[in-house]
Amino acid sequence: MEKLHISASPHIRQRCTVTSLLFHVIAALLPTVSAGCLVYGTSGVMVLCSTVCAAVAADLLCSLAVHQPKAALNGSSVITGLLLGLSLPADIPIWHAALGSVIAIVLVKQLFGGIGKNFANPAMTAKIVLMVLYASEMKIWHMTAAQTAAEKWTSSGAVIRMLLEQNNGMIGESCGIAIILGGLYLVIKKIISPVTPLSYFISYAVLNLVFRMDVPAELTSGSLLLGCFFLSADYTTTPLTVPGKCLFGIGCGCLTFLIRYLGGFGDSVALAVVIMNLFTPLLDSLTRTKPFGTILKLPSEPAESKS
Amino acid sequence: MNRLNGIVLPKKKSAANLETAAIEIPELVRIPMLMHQGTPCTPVVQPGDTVKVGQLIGSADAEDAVPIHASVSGTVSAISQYQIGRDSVPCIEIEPDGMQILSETCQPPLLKKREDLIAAAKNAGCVGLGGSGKPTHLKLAASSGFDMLILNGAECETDLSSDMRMMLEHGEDIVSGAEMIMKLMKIKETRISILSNQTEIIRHMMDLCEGKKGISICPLPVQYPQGAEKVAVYHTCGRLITEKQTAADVGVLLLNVSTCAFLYQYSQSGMPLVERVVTVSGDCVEHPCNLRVPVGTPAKVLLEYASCSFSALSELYRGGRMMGACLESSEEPILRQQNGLTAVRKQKKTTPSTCIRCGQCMRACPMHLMPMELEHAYRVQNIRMLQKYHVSLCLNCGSCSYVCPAKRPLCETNQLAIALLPKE
Repeated sequence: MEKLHISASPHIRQRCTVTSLLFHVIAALLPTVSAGCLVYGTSGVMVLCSTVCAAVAADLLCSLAVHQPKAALNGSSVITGLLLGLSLPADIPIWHAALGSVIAIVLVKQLFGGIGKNFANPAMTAKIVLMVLYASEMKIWHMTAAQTAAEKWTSSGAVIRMLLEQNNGMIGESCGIAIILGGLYLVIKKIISPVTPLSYFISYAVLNLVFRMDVPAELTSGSLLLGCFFLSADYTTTPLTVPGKCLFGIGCGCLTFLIRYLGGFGDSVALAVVIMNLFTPLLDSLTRTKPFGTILKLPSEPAESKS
Repeated sequence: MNRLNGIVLPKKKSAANLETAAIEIPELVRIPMLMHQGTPCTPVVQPGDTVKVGQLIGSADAEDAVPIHASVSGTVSAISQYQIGRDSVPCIEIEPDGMQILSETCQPPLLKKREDLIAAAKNAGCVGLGGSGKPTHLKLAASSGFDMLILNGAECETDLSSDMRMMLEHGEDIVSGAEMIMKLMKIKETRISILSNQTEIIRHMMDLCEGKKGISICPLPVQYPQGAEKVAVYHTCGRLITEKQTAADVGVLLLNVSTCAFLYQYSQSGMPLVERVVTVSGDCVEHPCNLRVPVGTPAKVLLEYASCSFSALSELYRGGRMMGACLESSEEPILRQQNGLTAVRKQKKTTPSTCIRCGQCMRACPMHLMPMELEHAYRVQNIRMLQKYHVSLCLNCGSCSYVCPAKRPLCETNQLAIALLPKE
């Protein structure tokens, strides 16, 4: 008699896998990556290559060390490398960029248990570390970018220029439209929920409107858009439920505003997102879903209350 | 009206447009003494006895048991054991004589009042035919104040089409059954729930219901799951069943369309539940079909009828692919609550990877649970956390496992977690 296989239900699974989800994210980053490469040329390509290669290599080595080589092949380290590279200036020495990737993968991701276990966004944490380590290279440059954003480009024509092409920021900031395209792709494909990007963007715009009486052109700047669509909508480090995502976005918006106009740190988006990442467990437990049927209080004699 | 979360399954009802066929009487039927949720029956026949179709062979001594009748006429060849999980129950094996002589005990019942219907449902061996196997008489007796009858014809499982065929081929029995139950149970309103994409069936049933007072069709959103009590009641009439309640507590009598049709047929013929319609499908069978078979027929006979390639057969499910339980061999009998038999080839093995907190399981869960947190609570064996997160609400519908991109066995873990909870 034939031998039948026994397994638990359900016996069909959706085709979508972690790898396919992550490849959609990589695809969504491609317009931004190509815009950055076009604007910055060889130096941009070199920085992106070094961050991606270093991230993949570090991930592979770590996974080999814990005897799970397959865990490194799902593309998550490529995303980390790309996000870090996109938020660096093009003229940074490629060794520093590669060091950033190693910090992101080893210190922030793998030491906490690998994919799905990190508490903060690896790329952004690494960027903050780089800004502390190499303050001169990163900060001086960034001051000009912030200056440009806040002072130079305040006319309405500047918004369009910033959306289209801006070659004085980080690699990923070169084209706002490319980031929006990628973000929309993720939203339409239902890979990310539009709640976090929208609440982040709107809360930041509203704060500007209320306290500074104008909506600055930098709303369309690359760093904010990248933060909205790719950093604050990351799966692992942001809350799960819709109210949680909403609070997370608002928190990011407020912190970005505070850091940018009251604080002295160069990259307000990175710092805001990483700080809010730390709030994720709290937000998650505050905004748990209500299981069906536990909302109502049980009447003492349910059978007789109805007739 | 709000709708609960759910998933959209691939449309794979390969036998939906095929007329129900009957098969030849098999060479041997095996009838286990437990084909319902409850206490097993006691065999009342001995090896060597001759039995007729519809004759009582397993008597229901407990209140939550449902009697079992012979599905063929012939000789009892043996009383063996049938394995269900870790327990085993007696199993009556009958060698059919092929004559199908009807038992003279089968007389149409006299149905005058509510109690008659409850007694008739028990005597008929009636259980939930949608796959649950819940004793129908317990459902009928659960409340005296029903004010709505919901007939569930959603059949949202993949592959299965036995209820759909029942509605198309015996729709008038369903409507007459609904009228009978409404009269006896003093219910004023009946809703027949059908998935809104089954336009042919909706039209057919609407024609049948025309002019019948109080019976209406309720189209349901095309999603899975729809058959579970809480989901079906909420989607059909918007009543919310809280954690410790059942449909009876909110005044709803929920029956499967096939169960309703059977009750009516029994009231006319007096023939207990001895045969049923089973959908045979899966990628291993060449000709998917809907078959009317005697209860206890070996699965093998149905598979042969549907030209199954036995060499490629890897898994066999009782039911559809979402909730069906695996059969250990193709010799196993068809049970009276079984609505499908799905035979599949070897599937690509999926290895679970780490959860990336994408939240898809949470958005798929009809009960609004958070399967990834339940899984964590199970892993650390934290019973208090499991209770706090209401793991006991899990319907075992499998939606969470279905959508999980990391292919984690979330649904399976929920069931293991429920087993951890202290018994009440």
